Amino acid sequence: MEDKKLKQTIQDKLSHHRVDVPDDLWARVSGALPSPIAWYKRKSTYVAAATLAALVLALWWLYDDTTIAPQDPGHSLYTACNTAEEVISPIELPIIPNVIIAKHVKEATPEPKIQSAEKAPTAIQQAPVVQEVLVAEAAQPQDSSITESSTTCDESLHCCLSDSACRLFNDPTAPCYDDIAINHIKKSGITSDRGSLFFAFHANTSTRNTVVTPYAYRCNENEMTFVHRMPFSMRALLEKRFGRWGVGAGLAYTYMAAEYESSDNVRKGLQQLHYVGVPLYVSYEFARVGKFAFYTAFGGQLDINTAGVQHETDGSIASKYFEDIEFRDELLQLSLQLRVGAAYEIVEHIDIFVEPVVGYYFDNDSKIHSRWQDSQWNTSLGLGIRAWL
Amino acid sequence: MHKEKEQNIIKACMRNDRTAQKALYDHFAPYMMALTLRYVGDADTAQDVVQEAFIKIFGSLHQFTAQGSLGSWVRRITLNAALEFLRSRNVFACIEDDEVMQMPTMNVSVIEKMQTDELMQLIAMLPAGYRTVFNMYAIEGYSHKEIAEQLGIQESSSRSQYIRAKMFLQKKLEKYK
Repeated sequence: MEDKKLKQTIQDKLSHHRVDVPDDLWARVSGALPSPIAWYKRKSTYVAAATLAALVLALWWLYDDTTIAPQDPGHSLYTACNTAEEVISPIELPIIPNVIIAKHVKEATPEPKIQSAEKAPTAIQQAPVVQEVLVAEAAQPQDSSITESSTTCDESLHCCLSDSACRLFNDPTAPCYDDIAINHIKKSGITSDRGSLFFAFHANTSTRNTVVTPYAYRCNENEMTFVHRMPFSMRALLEKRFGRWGVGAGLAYTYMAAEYESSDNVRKGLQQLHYVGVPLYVSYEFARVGKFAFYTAFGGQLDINTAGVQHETDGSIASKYFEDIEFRDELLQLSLQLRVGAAYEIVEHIDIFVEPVVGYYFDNDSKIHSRWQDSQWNTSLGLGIRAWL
Repeated sequence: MHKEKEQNIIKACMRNDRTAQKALYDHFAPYMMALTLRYVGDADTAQDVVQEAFIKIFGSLHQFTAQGSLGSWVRRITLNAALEFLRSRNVFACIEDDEVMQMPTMNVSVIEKMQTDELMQLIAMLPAGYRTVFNMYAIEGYSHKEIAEQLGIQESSSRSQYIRAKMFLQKKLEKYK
């Protein structure tokens, strides 16, 4: 009994006892160990260097966002119209957003007059953007011969300048149809009759993989060109590690911007979209050098648009009537993403990372001209922070 | 040390990463030094033994299985290094089989009041054979049978060495009072 107490007392005092170690002992120990492999001989150094080079190339490629210059639909339209009996210069257009220069050509009818800014047309067709403004400004009825809303073709132009579909053909003998199918790129089929404010345009999207098709206009609408910038994402992730593998989820915020311009030069500005998403992914760390980790990840992400705005720039005609149009798309955006990134462990179990992303964005039939909807395959740049267990 | 961090350090040490090896050294060296001092009795010799122990540790990390505790594994290697040193000095060869004496009583309350350094000094005064058995039995918790196997002596010798160590310490404690 006494012996047990003695053992317990001594164990309590000594079993975890520590004493100071002389400073030179580590030098002696490390001197006796095999020399470490020089950094330039390590395989991981080359893997890391290759990954960094790939990242730099990817970033360069992502930011070198040279877009396919859209054809100039506005110019084509005016050129076509300029062959009419009267010449309508864009400068002479009424300074009313989205207003239609509707010209009713009748046999033996005196030459129609050109509408001016001061004399707005009596019938303003499909001008939903600023309809109230237009109505207010168009309070002075003018020459009704100019803007009757009937469907009539000026056969010399083969251009229906009315509320019906029309086409501009190179072939002057081509007929004019009131109900012609609009053969256009997928997302440009959004027309004014859907009633949305800023969607009252056909739109072209200038991205890498869309092509502006030969024109088929509704003459009462304008062509809208979107040039998308590369989306930028911030992510906060929580990841469970299993060796080199990991499973993670988190929150993502994405900012997307596009410069838009209407063919009639009325609308011009910057569209900004904000998305919040939930990513779910599997990751694999293929190299680690010190506190740097290089990894790839694959997974899905569900995004929802939280806010959007079209801000007219100072040069746009529409900016005289409004500055911003705010909107929100309630449709969920699902995507599959492949990411390759580099992470730096700032404190234990917490990394910051940068990663180029290649993603496939499923079509959700959104009316918003986001880069994701205008081009299903996309690249973006992501930054973020991740905690791992 | 956190288990996952411990695993990462072990992996890095196996890659001969000096930073990780230094981290492992910083964590365990003070403990290994204290343990070795209890067995070999002087600081200079203890440094040599600790150095040898670290070389063995870094050289055999791949044999360490994550199921066990790294601390226990390090302690076992350090103890073996200390025993190896003592064996090289023929300390255990001098231990003879003698008859088991009556277990002396020790004043534990005096030990309880002692500072750790004082107790270390007291143990360091023990002859090497007594000291080794006393450390292994009273502090490391080995049985006399296990001690006998490790030191290559009779079990009864281990028992008698322990009793003699206690008697030695009792005498010192009487002076300490």
